[in-house]
Amino acid sequence: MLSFERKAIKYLKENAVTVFLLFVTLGGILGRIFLWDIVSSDMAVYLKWYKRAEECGGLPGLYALGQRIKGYNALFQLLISILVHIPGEPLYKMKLTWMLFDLLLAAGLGRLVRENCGAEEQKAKIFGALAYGACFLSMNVIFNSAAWGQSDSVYVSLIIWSLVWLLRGRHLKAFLLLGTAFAFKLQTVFILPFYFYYYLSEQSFSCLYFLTVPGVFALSALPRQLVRLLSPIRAEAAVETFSSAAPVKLSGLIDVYIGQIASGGQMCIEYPGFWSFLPNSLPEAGGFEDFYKFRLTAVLFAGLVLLALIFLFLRRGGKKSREEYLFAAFLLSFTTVYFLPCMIDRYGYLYEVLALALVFADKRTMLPALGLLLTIIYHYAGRVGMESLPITLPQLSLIMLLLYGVYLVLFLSRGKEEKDAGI
Amino acid sequence: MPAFEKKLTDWLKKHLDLLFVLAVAALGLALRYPLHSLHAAVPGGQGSVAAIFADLLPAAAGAWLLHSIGEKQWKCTLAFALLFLSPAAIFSSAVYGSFEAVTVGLCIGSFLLLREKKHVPAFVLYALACMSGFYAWLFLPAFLFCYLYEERFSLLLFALPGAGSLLRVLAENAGFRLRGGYLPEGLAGGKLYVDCASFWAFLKGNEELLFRRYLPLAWVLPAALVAAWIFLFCRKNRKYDEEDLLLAVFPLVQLAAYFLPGADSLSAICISVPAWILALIRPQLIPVALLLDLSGVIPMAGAIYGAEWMPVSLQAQSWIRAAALAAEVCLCLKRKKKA
Repeated sequence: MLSFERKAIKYLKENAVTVFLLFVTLGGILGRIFLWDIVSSDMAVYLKWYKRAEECGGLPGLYALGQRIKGYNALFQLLISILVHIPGEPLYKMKLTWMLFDLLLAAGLGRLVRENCGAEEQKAKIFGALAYGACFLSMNVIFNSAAWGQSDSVYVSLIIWSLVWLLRGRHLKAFLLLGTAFAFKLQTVFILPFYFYYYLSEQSFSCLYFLTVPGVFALSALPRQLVRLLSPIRAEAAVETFSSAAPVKLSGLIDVYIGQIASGGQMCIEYPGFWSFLPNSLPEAGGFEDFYKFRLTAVLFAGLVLLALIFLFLRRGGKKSREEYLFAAFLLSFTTVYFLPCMIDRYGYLYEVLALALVFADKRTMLPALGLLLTIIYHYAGRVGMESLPITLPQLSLIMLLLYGVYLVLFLSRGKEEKDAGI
Repeated sequence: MPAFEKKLTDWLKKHLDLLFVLAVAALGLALRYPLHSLHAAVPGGQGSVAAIFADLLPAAAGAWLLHSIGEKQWKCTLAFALLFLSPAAIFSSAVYGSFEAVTVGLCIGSFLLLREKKHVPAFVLYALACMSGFYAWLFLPAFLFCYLYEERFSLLLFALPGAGSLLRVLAENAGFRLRGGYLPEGLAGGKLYVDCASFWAFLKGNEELLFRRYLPLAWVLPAALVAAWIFLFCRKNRKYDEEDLLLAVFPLVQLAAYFLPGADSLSAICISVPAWILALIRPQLIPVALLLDLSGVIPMAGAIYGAEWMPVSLQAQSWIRAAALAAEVCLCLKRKKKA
């Protein structure tokens, strides 16, 4: 072996983490670029909002854009308005932005795993790097941002970093980030049950911290109000297409979902949730008559399942390890999305990403995590111009139920001999 | 018992392994021969009767490899039988008439020479393997792993397999085309997969568009997996005995084959041969090896008899393969309990 080779290998082994992270980052960027020309139907909607922001003049026209469009809140409008001022093709600018948030998400997941996987320091560093790689190159993350053009990594990255700070014991930072995630997208609500459980379990911070969330949500409307003060003429020209002139409403935290349940036409909107075995159409469209009753039942049922799980987790007793909290975060967000009705396919993004982190904290979850990959491919296939897989939604829902059961059993069997027999 | 009978049975017992191997070889060749008439029905089939002898090479190489790491004699003999009678091997050589088994056999032989510290002969043999078939490149991660782990031989030796491939490509361009092109059917034809339960079988749609859009990602993912594997298992302080090294390195070959873009059904042999070798080191892997073997055969049969014939869809098979590979990885990396 030549001497320079020996030196090169020595350098490689001493800086293996850095080299690996660099390799994965460059590879992930390369893999995404070739998908940027895909314009999905949802991407077309984003481009329409972008065009509207452009017509409103970008940041000066922020008030005219509106506080919220569907589930996308004030900070999202701010982001779109900022993008208007950056030169470039809107499609590529948006996808580049989502990719940057993918990097933030991957970095957050790597940090989350490194600090909470329960391994010794050197191994934790390696796991953290692998978690970063697994996240940045994960098919759902790539499909979501690069192919589909969705922006789920924006709010999920903030949630992941919020979890990092929460598990470090820095509660204010954690709730500020959580509030910021809410200010981007309302689907942040899926992680709330875990925060509630963590609050009851650790008892290390006041419930007043939860008020940070609506506080940040309200503050997120500040840029918009500032613009209104600075350019009142544009504010008067608010377009009716958006709910632009409405004042900040804290009910905005949940009213999108209420609206979805009240007027949405399906028990499961392309998501293989628990309710997808029920007929999916409104009675007016010839569907079954008890549709509306079932939706209310479904929400209450989901609430009960969550309560039961939290009760079970709390009753297990003993000091909870960080890996256990990571597992609980995954399981509770999975439960929320799986058992609530009127869920859309992308709502699984948060727990899909957490499932990756869990593989490093509990290697028994590797096979079920692979099982989730099937559902991910199903979600994205139709959305990014591919043929759907030959499996129906109810069949996929059964697979999801099985996976859910496996995860639940794995969680409950963790450190059984160390727990008090509290149940 | 009469004396001559006693002598005969003693002789049989003494040479049981050899007789078993000869019997397996003879019967294995005999059962392959009638199948060669199916060549004409195989799309892209290479149609050579001589190919039925091809499987002898990986079978012998696999048995020799196990012998070199100190496995018991009966396991080595069983390895020969399993590798020679594996359904994927029979389909590949007898039905398709391909010589991929020769490529795999040469790769295993070169890996064996590498482990015996005969680096130059190992790479010369590997160069021959690369010249004989594209799928030899699936063994590159194994060689890279050994290069980084041992730090005993130069990177310059990797130029030999490169030269081998280049020679083959130049020869083809000059008109000296061996049976079947060098590149897998998918890569040559602009498709992410062809009759193969690879990872990319999940992507269905306009093939040309999928190939153009997903090809870079399709190369990045297996490269990242190999990098992650080497990163995780090729650390300074990690030591392997011969058996552990095989367990660490062969799944890498299989993962590369599973994620390779443009793979066709003939890549199945790169998954099934290592699977059976590993199964003889860790018997818990036998069901996994069986699953991996069958998941290679069914698409091959589907290519002849039509997709409707297949009991499970290509996507489901890809899924089964993924689960089997994941189980194999977990079992291979499980540390042996210390005595």
